[in-house]
Amino acid sequence: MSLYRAAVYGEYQYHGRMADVDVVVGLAFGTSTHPESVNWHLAETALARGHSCDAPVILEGTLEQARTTNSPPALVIDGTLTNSAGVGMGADGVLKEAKEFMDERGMRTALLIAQAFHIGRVEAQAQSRGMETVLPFGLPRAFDPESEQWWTTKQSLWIPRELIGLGFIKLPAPIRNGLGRILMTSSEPA
Amino acid sequence: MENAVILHGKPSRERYLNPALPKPHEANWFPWIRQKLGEVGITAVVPPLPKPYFPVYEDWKRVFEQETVTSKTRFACHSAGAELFLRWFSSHKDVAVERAVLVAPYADYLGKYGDFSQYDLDPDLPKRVGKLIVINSKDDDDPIQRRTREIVEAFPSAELIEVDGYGHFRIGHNMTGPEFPILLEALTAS
Repeated sequence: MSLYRAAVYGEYQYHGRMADVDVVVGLAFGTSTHPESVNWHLAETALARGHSCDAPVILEGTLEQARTTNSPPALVIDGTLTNSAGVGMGADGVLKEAKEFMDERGMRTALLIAQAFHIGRVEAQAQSRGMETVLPFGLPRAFDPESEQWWTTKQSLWIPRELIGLGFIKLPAPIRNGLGRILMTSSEPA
Repeated sequence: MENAVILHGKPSRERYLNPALPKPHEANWFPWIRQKLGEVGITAVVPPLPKPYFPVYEDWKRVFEQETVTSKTRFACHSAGAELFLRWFSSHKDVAVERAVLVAPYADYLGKYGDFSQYDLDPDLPKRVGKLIVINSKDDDDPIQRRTREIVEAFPSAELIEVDGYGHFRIGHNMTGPEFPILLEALTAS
């Protein structure tokens, strides 16, 4: 239920303690990178938290482009922007690489920084990859009206797509993987 | 690691909901003091507290307790943030901190916010705070003057810094800019 509350209302359960954080992982929302955009807020939040937790920061590439604070993250994860069929690196791809970074260093607990309507799914995906998670209170709730991803431009477009996406990630892995392969094939250029 | 926790106060509901105004944790002197502390090697956070215009102790406490508090932690607490600190610290008698600076401390004398101010100050609190400093502006409102007097009478070892012309230490309430060197000095002087 909390997954759906986050997706629909942007309400999530913040939990955990900053003292336990090994690494901060910042995930993008939409595509804008200008100051005051949601990605700028996410990048600045992640970097400030990394500083205060004395922990390395991993940023998705869009956040690296958005940051104005002069303190480079430990790792930038770049990848293909997710398209409307859900094909691209996506949050799960970022988390996969973040987990590899953590495993190489014996890290267990990640402070996740993502947009409030996005964080429920992000946390579920992080936990399914074996991360222990901390969520702070007060994650940005803004959408990205200028985003190249139509579903991140406003809440009314976000909700239906996200609800379908949540249904998808709850499918058994073989079915999910099969559907994923079909989508990958159908979205390839002719 | 030396760190600081900066606790913001209680804005009016109208101010909080006005999208043209910064949120309480990003307003007034908070970004300035965070940056200045960072420059001297003290990492500072300003956690956004939930529903800041209507403080509920248990809700504020839950967010506050995500932060790292050690014997090296310094606190700067503004208005209702000072009340959160005093109440939390009065009921956590095993915790000691480096220092606390209370700026324009507020108490809910009228009981507008439930039990927010219903607790007993721990008279031994100063024994667990390396330095306890109260900063008061003579042109602040009467309830703040009253709370300031109560605190310095309850804790005779507390240092009182009285200034004039700062109002309630809010930009737009007599304070004209974000610089607050008196606070920086109080937080960093040995």
